[in-house]
Amino acid sequence: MLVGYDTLITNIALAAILAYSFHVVLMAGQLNLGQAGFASLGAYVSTLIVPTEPLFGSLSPVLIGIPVGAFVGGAAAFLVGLPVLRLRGVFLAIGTIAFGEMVRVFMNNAEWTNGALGVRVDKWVTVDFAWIIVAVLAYLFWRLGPSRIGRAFAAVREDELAASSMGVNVVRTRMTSFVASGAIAGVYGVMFLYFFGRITPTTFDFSLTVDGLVTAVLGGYLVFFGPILGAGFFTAVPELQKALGVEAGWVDPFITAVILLIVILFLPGGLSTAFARIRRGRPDPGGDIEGLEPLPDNGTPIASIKGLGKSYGAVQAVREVDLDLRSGEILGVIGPNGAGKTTLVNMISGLETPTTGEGEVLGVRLGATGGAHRFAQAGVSRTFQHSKLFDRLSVLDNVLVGTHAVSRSTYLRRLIWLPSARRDEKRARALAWAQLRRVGLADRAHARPGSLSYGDQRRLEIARALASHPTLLILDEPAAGMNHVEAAELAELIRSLADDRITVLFIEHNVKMVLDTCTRLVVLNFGEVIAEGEPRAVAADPKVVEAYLGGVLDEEASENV
Amino acid sequence: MSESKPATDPILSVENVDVSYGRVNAVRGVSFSVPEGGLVALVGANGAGKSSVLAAVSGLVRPAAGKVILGGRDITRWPAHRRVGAGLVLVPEGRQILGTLTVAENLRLGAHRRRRHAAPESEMYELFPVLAERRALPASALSGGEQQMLAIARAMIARPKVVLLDEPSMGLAPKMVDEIFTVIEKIRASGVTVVLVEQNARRALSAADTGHVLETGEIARSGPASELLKDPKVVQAYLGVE
Amino acid sequence: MLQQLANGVFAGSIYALFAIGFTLVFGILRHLNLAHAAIFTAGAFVGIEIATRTGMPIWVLFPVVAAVGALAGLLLERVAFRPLAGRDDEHFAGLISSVAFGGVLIALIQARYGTEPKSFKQDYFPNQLFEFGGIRVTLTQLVTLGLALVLMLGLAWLVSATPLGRAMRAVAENPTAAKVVGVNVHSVTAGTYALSSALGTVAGALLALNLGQADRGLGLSIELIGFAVIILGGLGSLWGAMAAGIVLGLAEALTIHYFDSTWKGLVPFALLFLVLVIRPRGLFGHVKVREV
Repeated sequence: MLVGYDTLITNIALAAILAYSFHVVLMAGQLNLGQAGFASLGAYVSTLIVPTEPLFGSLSPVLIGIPVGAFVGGAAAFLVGLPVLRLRGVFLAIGTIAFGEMVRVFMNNAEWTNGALGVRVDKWVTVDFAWIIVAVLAYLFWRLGPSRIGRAFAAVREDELAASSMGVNVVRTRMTSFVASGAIAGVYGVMFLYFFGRITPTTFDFSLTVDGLVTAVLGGYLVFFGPILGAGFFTAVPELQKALGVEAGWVDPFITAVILLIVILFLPGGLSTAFARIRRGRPDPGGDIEGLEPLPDNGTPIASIKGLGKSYGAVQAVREVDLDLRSGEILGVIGPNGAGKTTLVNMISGLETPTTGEGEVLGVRLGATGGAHRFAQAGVSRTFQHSKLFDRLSVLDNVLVGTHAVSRSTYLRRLIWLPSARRDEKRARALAWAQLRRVGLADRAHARPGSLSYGDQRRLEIARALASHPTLLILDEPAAGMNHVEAAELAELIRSLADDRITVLFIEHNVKMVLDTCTRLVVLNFGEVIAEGEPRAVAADPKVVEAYLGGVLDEEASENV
Repeated sequence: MSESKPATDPILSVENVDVSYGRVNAVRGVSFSVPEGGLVALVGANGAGKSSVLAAVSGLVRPAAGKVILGGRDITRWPAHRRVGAGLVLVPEGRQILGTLTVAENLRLGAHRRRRHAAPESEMYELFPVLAERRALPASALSGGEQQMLAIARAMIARPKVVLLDEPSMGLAPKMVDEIFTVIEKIRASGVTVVLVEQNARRALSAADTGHVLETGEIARSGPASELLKDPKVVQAYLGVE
Repeated sequence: MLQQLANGVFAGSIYALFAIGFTLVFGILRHLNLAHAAIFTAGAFVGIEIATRTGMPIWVLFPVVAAVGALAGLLLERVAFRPLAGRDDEHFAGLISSVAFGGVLIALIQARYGTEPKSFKQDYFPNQLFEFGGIRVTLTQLVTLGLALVLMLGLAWLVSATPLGRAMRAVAENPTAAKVVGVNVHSVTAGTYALSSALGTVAGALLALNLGQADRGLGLSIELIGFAVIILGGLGSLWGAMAAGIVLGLAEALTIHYFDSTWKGLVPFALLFLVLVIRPRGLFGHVKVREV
């Protein structure tokens, strides 16, 4: 049945391999467009190493070429990634394109590559061989999706800040996807070489990059077989036209481009959108979570800060703040808009570096290099004033990302189906479900965050933050936008966290809620602490009433207090 | 459509407006009207929906339901720039001045849509002397209070009929807040209709004729500002006390 | 040597003209418009066809080509960018949709003009030679340089000193604030695309005039050089793109002089790579339309 279609079917496989090298970076939201360069390096280097005779008399010598291509592509991606991964978005895209072009020009001019004439080798890649490689890749990606690193990829793609606050090492995650992409591109180069039997430097040019990107996008990166869908589609359309008798040279690229335009405009997730929706959600497994570190006893010092300050240019957002935190406290931070509250907690959670002063939170020095994930791993977890949920992940998956800091990597063990990986994933899920129950969102576990009410989104953020089993939980205006009933429930939740020995630091505008909840109150104004101590006493301080409430109706306010 | 109305009719009215972002309803069924030359204050806690009401009135968001009427004309479906052209100008929350443009360029932009009506720049410099000294500087070099002055001047240069002020005192030092409210009084005295959204309820209600208290997206209380000032329920709504 | 430097300046002026359209759209709208190369190629073919059919003089030809380009730009914005506005993945999707739009355009060029290169008529434009202190310059080159300079200075004036330019800068910095003051963001966006594409088509027609012919691959190589120019100049910076275009032309000329013409292709990308790694904001990123 397939006789005569060998080339077509192998072309689909090759296009799928190329698309996988884009798939892996798109999963992590990185616009790496240097694949042509990695493929070229992989292919050319393999011509130097791979023997021209079959191995042991019958095995394809490409079996050596594949690891060579993967290693060369991956190593090159690592070396290029070191400088280039400081860039993001368009800059990263252009930088990697430039790398690809440099490789092309280099291959064109080097002696050993035979310049523009290219290299010829024997054709060793058969249909079966090509599809075995595709199957291996598909397997690798199938196992990647619901693993810890797979979730880290998605988290980095959706929101780097939130990801690092959940303990994801953003730098390493980006590099991992980059190197994987380079390795797959290297494999593609080798496969191309030994299928067509010939390459020239222009085989791997910018249009190859565009083709690969477009295939990956058309297939979609939300399911593991997206690249195969895209490849099948792009390779099959011209064939279909031929079968229908359309021969004009321009019709094929025209139709392909129009379809691409339609897909990107109307089907943002690509062809795989249709499949991504039918993922069934597993029910709550229930059960206890074992093996979590006990939290420190009440009263243990967990943070100590002296003279902390932060300025942006001429604006002094925070100045000379001293603060000590002890385990089991609920510390409320209030102050007018622009008083520096968010800047203060950003420094405490490692998202911003102080310009003056010093401090330590759970053993991590403020301003230390390494990023926010180190604070998360030490036991600091937080929510954001403007919710930073991972919009394209389900509610449960959002919370699962939160378990990153307290779980072990499962991917490699998942590849060989080790039971321990299964156990670890189960534990992470149990931990996540427990947090959803804690905040009352268990029945929405498989919904998208965007479909939740505003109050529920805030609670989901808290659940995600709790999933890292934090010692210190920082909440930035958790009640903003909640009605009284929701705010009262939230206050109840916060008190119950303290009963579980979690230390809570929260910024809030809802004064009533702060007074009802916290054990200690700090008031900031113009970046300085203007009052601190027992909540009701602080709130009655005329300085505070003046600064924070704008002198609102002071008689009534003091009656209320 | 635009039949002439008697002068006693409100210049701006908002009728049963809903605003939603995705599935979140920020504002539900809000109605109020503003007489010509009046000063109406919308007060309420953070997240009560005050800014969303102004966004719907100024055309930054399209209301999910309800109508916005300006001078007898239904402008609900007008884009923002057309409303500016008709004399309805917003001074947005967080000021939104253009930091890379100079002070003078910011002012000229304010006159962009109303070149025929616009006041001369010099008039704004008289009203806001601090801007005159800094006219050639990029607006990002101004202090917070000066930026707020620029944002107000940028709206006033268009000689608007109605000006919408969204949290003009936010993040400013008390002395600066006093100055801003002095400016608001001046605007009002010049006959321009003002809708003022403020967290600083006492200041806002002291300046206004009429006030509306928003609570979780709905108007919880309305009345003459002087009465609202004394109403203990207002404090409750405001501080989130049940 | 001087001759090669002069040639470098001429090549660089076309790079710069291509790149300012590119960087204008990025600077104001933050879209990386990958259809710009196809628009450029279309400009070359349309210029040749109109010149060949009507024989119209060159000073009429370029305005006509620019008008065609402006229309193409309006269509591009309407089809490939406006429908994406407000989507989470707006910028990434815009990258892909502009690739698709470019693909459609190139396919249509193939449908109309076939796969063979098209040429200007031999006698369309007099190819006079001038000599200035030992440097030989053709009339075409002079026209190219002159037109490129006029257009670039004109654009710079437009952006810095006119109400439209002020509105464009307002949109660039903060679309919401622009709306608030009454700028019609839609029409500024469409206008930016029209302007950018008009510059792109003129650049394409100019290159075709210099080469005497055009083929479908014309845009591909200059697209890559365009990336280099806009990064060297600082993304979104008009003056930067102009300076970087010329610098790149000169650098290529020097490479040819000191090394070998085959290594010429390495120059833009090596420079680009270095700049990205050492100073991502570009060499001349001071007159920024927008902080990126």
